[in-house]
Amino acid sequence: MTYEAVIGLEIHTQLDTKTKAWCDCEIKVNGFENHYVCEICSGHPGTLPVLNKTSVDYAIKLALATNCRINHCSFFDRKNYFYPDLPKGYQITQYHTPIAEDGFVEIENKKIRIQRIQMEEDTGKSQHEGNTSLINLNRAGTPLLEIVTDPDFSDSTEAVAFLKKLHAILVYLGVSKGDMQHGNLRCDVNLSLRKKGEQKFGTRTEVKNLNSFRSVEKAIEYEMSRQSKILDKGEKVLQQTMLFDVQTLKTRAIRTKSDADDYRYFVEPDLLPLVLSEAHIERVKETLPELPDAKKQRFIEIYDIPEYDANILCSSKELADYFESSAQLYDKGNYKQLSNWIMVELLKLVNESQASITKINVTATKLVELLKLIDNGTISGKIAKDVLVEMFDTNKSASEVIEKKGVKQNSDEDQLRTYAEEIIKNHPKEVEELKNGRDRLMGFFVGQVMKKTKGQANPQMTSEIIKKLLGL
Amino acid sequence: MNFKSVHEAHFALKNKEISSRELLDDCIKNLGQNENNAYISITKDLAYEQAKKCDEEIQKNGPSTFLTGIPYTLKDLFVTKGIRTTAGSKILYNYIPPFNGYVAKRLEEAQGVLVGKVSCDQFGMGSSNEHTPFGAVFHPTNKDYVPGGSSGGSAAAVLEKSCFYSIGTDTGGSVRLPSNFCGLVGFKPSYGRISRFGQIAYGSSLDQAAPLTNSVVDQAMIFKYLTQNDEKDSSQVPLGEVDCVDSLLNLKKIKKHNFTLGYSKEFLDNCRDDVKDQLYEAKKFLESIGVKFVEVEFPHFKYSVAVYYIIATSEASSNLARFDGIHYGFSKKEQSNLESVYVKSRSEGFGDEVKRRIILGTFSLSSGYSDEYYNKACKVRRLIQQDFLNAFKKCDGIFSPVCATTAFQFSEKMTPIQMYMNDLYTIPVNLAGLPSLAFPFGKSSLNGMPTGFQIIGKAFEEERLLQNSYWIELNKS
Repeated sequence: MTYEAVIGLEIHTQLDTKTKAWCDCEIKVNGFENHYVCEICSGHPGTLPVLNKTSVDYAIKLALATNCRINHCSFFDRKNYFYPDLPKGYQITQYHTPIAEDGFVEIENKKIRIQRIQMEEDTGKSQHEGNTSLINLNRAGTPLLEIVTDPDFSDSTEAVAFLKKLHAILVYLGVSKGDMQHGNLRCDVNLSLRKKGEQKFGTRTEVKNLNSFRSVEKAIEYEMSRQSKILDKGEKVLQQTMLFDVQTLKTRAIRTKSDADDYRYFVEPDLLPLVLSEAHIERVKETLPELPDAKKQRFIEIYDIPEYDANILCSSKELADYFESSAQLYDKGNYKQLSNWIMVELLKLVNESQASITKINVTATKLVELLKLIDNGTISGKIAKDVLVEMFDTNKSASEVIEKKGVKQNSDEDQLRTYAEEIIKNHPKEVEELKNGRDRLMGFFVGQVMKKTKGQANPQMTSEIIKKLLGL
Repeated sequence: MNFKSVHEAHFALKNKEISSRELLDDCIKNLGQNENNAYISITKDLAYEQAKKCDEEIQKNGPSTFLTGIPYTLKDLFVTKGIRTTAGSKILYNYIPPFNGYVAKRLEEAQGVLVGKVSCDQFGMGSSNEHTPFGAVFHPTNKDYVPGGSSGGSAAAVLEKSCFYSIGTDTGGSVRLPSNFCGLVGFKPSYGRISRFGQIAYGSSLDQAAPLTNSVVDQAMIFKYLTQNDEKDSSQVPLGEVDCVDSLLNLKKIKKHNFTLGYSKEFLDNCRDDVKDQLYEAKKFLESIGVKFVEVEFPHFKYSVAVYYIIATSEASSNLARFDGIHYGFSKKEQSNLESVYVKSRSEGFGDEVKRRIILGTFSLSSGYSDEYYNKACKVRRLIQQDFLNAFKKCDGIFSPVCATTAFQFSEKMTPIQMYMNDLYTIPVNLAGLPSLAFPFGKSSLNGMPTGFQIIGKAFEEERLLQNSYWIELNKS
């Protein structure tokens, strides 16, 4: 039987504000345990929350960037449940009327609808060690946005494409660090299967707390196969909450939804309704940076690079910024060449070393210097690749590396001609074939000269010398 | 004690007729062995230290505020840095707050002298001050009687003159009722007027700090210091530059001050006869000093008690969730699992009345019932507010009973519902967020206990309410 999947996502993103959602505590989740905590975020009696204004503006930014309708009056609600890392015994969230609703994000010509964006707070962290559980409240009260999509995805590829896009938007906006390893972005997947063509939804499961694109991908794939096996056997999928194991790449149920929690939501009496004027929203709108789609379009137009390149370069703000500052230094240069060097050679090094492009030795200035040395024939493109590696590892400039390695391109015409004459003399058969039209052998001759010069021969010059000598 | 009000004590200090230390000596003498059990924690050493500083200050520059050097107490729901704050409950029996709440901070800044933390029904839940493991508080005039609640410790402390004023909290009448039972002035400002930061929450949309004093002018003096802007409470509406004390004292210079009070005959007539008689006496007296009366109707008041006990308990069920035996306070830690820590700590830590209200509130909010209870109650609350707005079209304030009875005896056993009905006349005021001042007037012919009335004002028009009340006080004496 073939099934189609109906998938919706709920994403929690930590906002990159200086202070927490309701108090003045600095946010340092990984700082000394329980040090970045006050009476408010640790839930002492008598304390009250005061809304962080920056977090509101961040929510507005995301709402605008995802084409949402912003509610001019939204409310905070309490979600009541007991857990030691929730010191108040309730989470402040937006249940009945969130700050924004009804938006969308486009991925490869498909619109993914955003149901709602709601403001809420993170909990502390529980750490279980044998028989002991330790609570760290540094994270408690960190502002979060929860983004809920409609069930518009039909496979893991779409879901991951959306997440990557949303991640890029968040980082472009500067509202989140987007560091998934540290839980800045966490995703819950709701997934059900139904027979192809059927309207009715199947029973869904919810996989909680996925914190990498790969986990989202693998969890969706595993759930799809797990559920389809159940359905094939004529059995019923249970409405369950699942966890994903990154080691085994399998999901397992942690609770069945029939004993669904009752969170007893009601309006938070300690916070006023959040009233936003059109003027305020306009002011925030004016501060919006260029978003990935607009940047991509501009790169294609201004730098004349293929859409494929623009897509990759704009997938992260840091990368796009790197390209753009290089391009400005590389004034009227060959931008396609620049894009190739960044996407292929540089990104390979960056990915291998798991470095951030903002923190590498090869700054935009240094890369452009290297490219200019290729352009003016000082080094060959081939050697430049080795030079780049050295630059990446040692923080030296291109000219320093070239100096040290003595890999400067050999453009000494007389010397190259001498080498070429010698090779022609030693390979009469190949000369004959080349003259008879086997053009490919040109490469052979240039290669031989290269070998003689340890790769430093100026390839273009060498090729011209050989042509001349053979009268081609 | 030589002086019966903050006002008198202040001027005596100012004229150097007495020292803060001597005022405190009197208070400590009156406190005795805490016979009325008004106090949960006595901060005598701190008080003498504060009094000493005040006296030095007064010697040099005179008292810098109305409250400088004057002994006061705080209901044990106000969080005080380094001083045990119990909320009258076992679950916080050992809780020493690491911070000062707004009220504690402001009175410290105003150079008050803190005699102690006074008793209350646990978390402010009760009308008799019996509901606390620290033991019932006795009515200082007759130990067989309750002082009223939940701010019973505050009322008893002011009445026994172990302090000049006390700050209580009024969620459904918890300051006005004990003031009425003890013959004191209890003034609940509009909801939001005094920052709730550091006031242990019961019903967050109803809670309001409220002083208990011997006079109206004392209220104005305290009001000034407790109504400054506090960024830590989003729902606060600071008073600004208004000087209530000046506007009150100005009344001394005039002969006539007219205002109209609305009243419901039905409310007066439904009180017990001894209380009813005094209410009509009061009405007569007020008319004699130029107050006009008009009859007004409150068609939705009959739902007040029900609405209140749904909204207040719903909020309480959430507010009290933080007392879980994990982070602070009473804990039964040695359990085999987390749920047992919660269940054992809360079952032992909370008293019956608190548990009753948590259960009621949890039910009212639970899925499938919240529409019928919590959400419905919120709608009816609007109608009750509207009743007041309609009434205020005809009058400047409402003349109302505080309670249908006087202070009652410990031996008078009541069901929880009968107990809840004590708050019938005070509750609508909290639901509508209005200011109200309980004014003592007369004594019961039945048991000699104090009687009185309350005047309910328009939202955020406390100055007017205090003026009208002061006019009555001026003419009464």
